[in-house]
Amino acid sequence: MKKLSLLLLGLTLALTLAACGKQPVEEINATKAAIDSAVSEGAEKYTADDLKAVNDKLTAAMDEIKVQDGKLFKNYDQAKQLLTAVKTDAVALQEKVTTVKEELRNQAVTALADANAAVNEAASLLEIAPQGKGSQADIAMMKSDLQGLQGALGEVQPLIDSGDFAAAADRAASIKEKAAAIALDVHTAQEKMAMAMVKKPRKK
Amino acid sequence: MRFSSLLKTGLLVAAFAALVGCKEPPVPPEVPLVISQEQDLWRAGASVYAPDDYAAYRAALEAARNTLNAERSQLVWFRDYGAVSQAFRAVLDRGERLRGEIAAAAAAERTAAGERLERLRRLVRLLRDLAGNLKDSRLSGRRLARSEVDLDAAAGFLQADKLRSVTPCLDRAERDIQEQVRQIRPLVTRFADPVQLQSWQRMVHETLLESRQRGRLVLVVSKLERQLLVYRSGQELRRFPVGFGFNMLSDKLFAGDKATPEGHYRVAGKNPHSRYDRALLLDYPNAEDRKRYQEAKRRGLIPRSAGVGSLIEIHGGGRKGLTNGCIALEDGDMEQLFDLVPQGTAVTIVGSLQQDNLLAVALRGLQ
Repeated sequence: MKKLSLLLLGLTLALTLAACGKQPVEEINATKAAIDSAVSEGAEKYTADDLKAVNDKLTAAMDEIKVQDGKLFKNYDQAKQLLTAVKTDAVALQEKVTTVKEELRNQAVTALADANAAVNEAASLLEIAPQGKGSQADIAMMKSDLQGLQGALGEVQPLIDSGDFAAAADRAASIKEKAAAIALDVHTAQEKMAMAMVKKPRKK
Repeated sequence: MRFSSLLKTGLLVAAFAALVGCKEPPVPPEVPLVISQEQDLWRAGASVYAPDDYAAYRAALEAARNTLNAERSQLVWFRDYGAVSQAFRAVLDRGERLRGEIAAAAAAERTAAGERLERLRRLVRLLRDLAGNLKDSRLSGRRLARSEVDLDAAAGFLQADKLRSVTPCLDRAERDIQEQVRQIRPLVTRFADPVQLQSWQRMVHETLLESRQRGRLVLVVSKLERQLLVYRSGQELRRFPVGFGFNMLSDKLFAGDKATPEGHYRVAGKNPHSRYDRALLLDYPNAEDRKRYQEAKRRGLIPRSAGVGSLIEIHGGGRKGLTNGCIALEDGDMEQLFDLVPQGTAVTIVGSLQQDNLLAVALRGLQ
């Protein structure tokens, strides 16, 4: 009788130890939800390296869970710790994505405003550009170039709207540079014209 | 009693084993190497350059990880990392092959994108040079400026090694350039057409023959070379640089088309008090011009209200300006020409005198 009692006690203890470790389902779900939030915020696009690191850590945590799943005496404490750390990283990543996105958006918006200003300046200068016979052809070509730049400028805002901030900023910078070159050409022509007027003796 | 002593013995053995042999064996060195390799492959763009092989690599890695996890689930005394080591070694080898594959694919794509970018830039330069040299407004165009913005963006992406972003920019630029080329091709094709070039050469030959046979002064104007050549008795006497109208590449067809006519003409009048220094009035339109005009009108190719045009002159005012179809010289050159040329002088205007002219060469570059 005593033997049987000891055996039952041993079996009960073993079963209790084996069953007391349950998969940390809640922690897994919470961590995955935090990562999903970062992804829907745009982590894949704006902070891909950080997202990869978080996902790798999640894989390591899941490996630990698989290890415990295969054991007779399961202990998910380490897995829980890992999952908590991953969740913390995921929440921090979500905040980082928001910050990075905002910075990039601001840069793109500023670049667009600068490009707009440069195009408008070039357009105003072309309106009052010296219309001598010698400059007609150049002015016609510059106007045509400016039309092209205005068309390209119209493609920047949709890029910003779609979150393609880096492409928008690059495009706007290129437009600004080209519009500034047109403005410089007009300035140079104006200066040449002014010099010629000074040098030319007046007819009597 | 017997069971109790057996239990005690077992507990003693377990305690001894825990103290002496319970040390967890380290995971094989291949494991951290593979984890680091996978990160490198991801950063190198494995999913972009070799998606299928990368997926297979990931599957092999997953299987190896499962082997490791299964082994780690065993009691310490029963763990054997031999199979794990082998599995991770296989993944490592597969990853190295994949790394080479990615590097080759990325290099090939980088080279192809670079070459395509350079080819499109050459085309834009060519079109810009043509527009700059010929001052024909139709050669320029907003598409060129837009394509340049796209080419700049592509160059930026290429430099930042964002190869997959390069292609859409190049595609857009190429579409714009192709459209520009498509639009200007009809304007420039005849300058590369051997039959047309022979016809112009024949016209000049006839004019020079007349000059030689009758000892007369004649003028030959070549639009593309932007030159006016003066011959006496078939010998070149002078040559002057000239300018034309907005649409100098076209042969004049009707009033207001801003094109310079091509054909045999005569100086019909001389004006020493022109608005543009001095002027030689040509007898445009001649019978051939009227015939072409009537034919074009009959076929509805020109506006119904448009006339055939008139008052085509060779005048001063500067060759860099744009005329409405006249031929413009610098004032000093015009004064010399005016003194040289009597009324009735033959003037032959052709598109080009050279087989390998600027547009023929450009057209080959645009193919």
